[in-house]
This record gives sequence, C-alpha cells and structure tokens, in this order.
Amino acid sequence: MTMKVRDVMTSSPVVVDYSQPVSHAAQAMRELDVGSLFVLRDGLLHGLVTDRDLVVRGVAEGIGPDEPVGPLSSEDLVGVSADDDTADALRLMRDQAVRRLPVLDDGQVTGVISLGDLAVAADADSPLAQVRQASPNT
Amino acid sequence: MRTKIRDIMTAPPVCMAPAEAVSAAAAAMRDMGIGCVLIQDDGRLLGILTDRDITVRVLAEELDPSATRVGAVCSSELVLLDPDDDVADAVALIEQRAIRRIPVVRDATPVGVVSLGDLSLETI
Repeated sequence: MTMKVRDVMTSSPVVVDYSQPVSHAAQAMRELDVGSLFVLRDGLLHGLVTDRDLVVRGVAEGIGPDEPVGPLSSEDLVGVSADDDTADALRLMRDQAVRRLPVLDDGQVTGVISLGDLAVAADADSPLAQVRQASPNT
Repeated sequence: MRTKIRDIMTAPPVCMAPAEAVSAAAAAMRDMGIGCVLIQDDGRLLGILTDRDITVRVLAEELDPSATRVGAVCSSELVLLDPDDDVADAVALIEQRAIRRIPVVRDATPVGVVSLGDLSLETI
C-alpha cells in the first residue's frame, strides 16, 4: 500500500510576511517549534525561510534581527500535491537537496511535508524519527 | 566497514573562544557549510553552538549578534564521544537524547563532530 503525502504532511503551515523583522520570524520558529516558515508577499506564496537561513544568509551577512526577513528566503519552491506518493516526495527532496516541501493545492499552500515526517511514518523507532518527535531546544 | 566514530566524524571541528561574537560563528557556519561550532577555552571543550541556537537564543531575543558572546548562548555540552567509540554508540546517544550533533573528544580536546547527517550517509 503506497502512502500519500496527505497521510504524512503537517497541515496549517506557519507563515510570515515578507516585511516582518527577522526577530519575529525567529520568535515564531521558537514558539511554534518549527524550523521553517513560508513567506507570503502581498498574500501570495513568495518562498520559504529556515532557521539556518536567518543565520547564514542573515547574521553572517550583517543582516540583524530588526531587518525584514523576506530577502533571506528561498524562492522558486518545488512543491508536491497531497495526492502524490510519499516516495515521490522523498525523491524530490533528494533531487532538490532539501528537507521539506510545501504542499500545494491550486497554487495555495495547504501544508508542509518534511524528511522527519517521512522518517516517522516509515519507522517511528528510527533515530531520525526519535529526533523528529522530541521537543526542540529553546 | 566503517564502524568507529573516527571513521565517520567530521574533522577537524570548527572551534571558537567563548568571547568571540555570535556574528563570527554565523560567518563560519556559512563559509564552512556547517551547522555548529564548538566553544573551546585553553584546548578544553566548553560547549556547542548550533544555527538553531542562534535563531532561538539570539535573534528571537532581539540581541545584537555582533555584541553577543558565543560563550553566553552556547549549550554546555555533556554528551560526548571518543574517536574509538563505535558508530552504534552515536546512534544510541542520538536516539536517547534526541540530539543531532555530538562532539568527539580525545583527552578533553575536541577533535571532531558526529551529526545525524554523518550517520544517515552511512546507512542510506
């Protein structure tokens, strides 16, 4: 039986606006226990920003907590549909060298699927799954 | 078959003094393509600082990364491995502690880091 993206994905992805300061994005990541946020610009999906982006594209480039987060995001996102097989999602992650993909429905972001989600679904006792399920640091 | 920590660890580790700025750690993470730096004083390991730590402990707190010391925001690392430990020991620690990186230390001196990514490369 093939598993579908909809069986594994997280719905209600967390978003941040392009113009919000880096500190707000960081606070959202901390409080909501996530490592990435979708970035909206004028209400439309602009891209994705991760906790690592805030550091290597932000802090390392002298961009501080008060500056807008939008320019730090990755654009041109590759997405999957909720009806896709999880095997296709995993292959896409490997091809794109990414750990998470937006789930799109007619251009609207309906969720997110991560490598961790796939690991938990495949083997809840695996090391990656254990890490995925543990509480994040604060 | 690579079964020892020294065979799979990433070495040498990037180390910084506790008084160095978080902004310098961020630059090292960017330049070296790594997710953590080790904090070292007089050759002795004091702690570990990850990219996630910078996000939640510095940026979320609206601190100035260039004015914040890495020693002030790093984790005082208690989980360690020896280069002669088995890969299975790393897997067990990562599972039990739900962590993704473990410093490798020989005679209290940091010599490398083992990450979940290093383990994944060995098993995929």
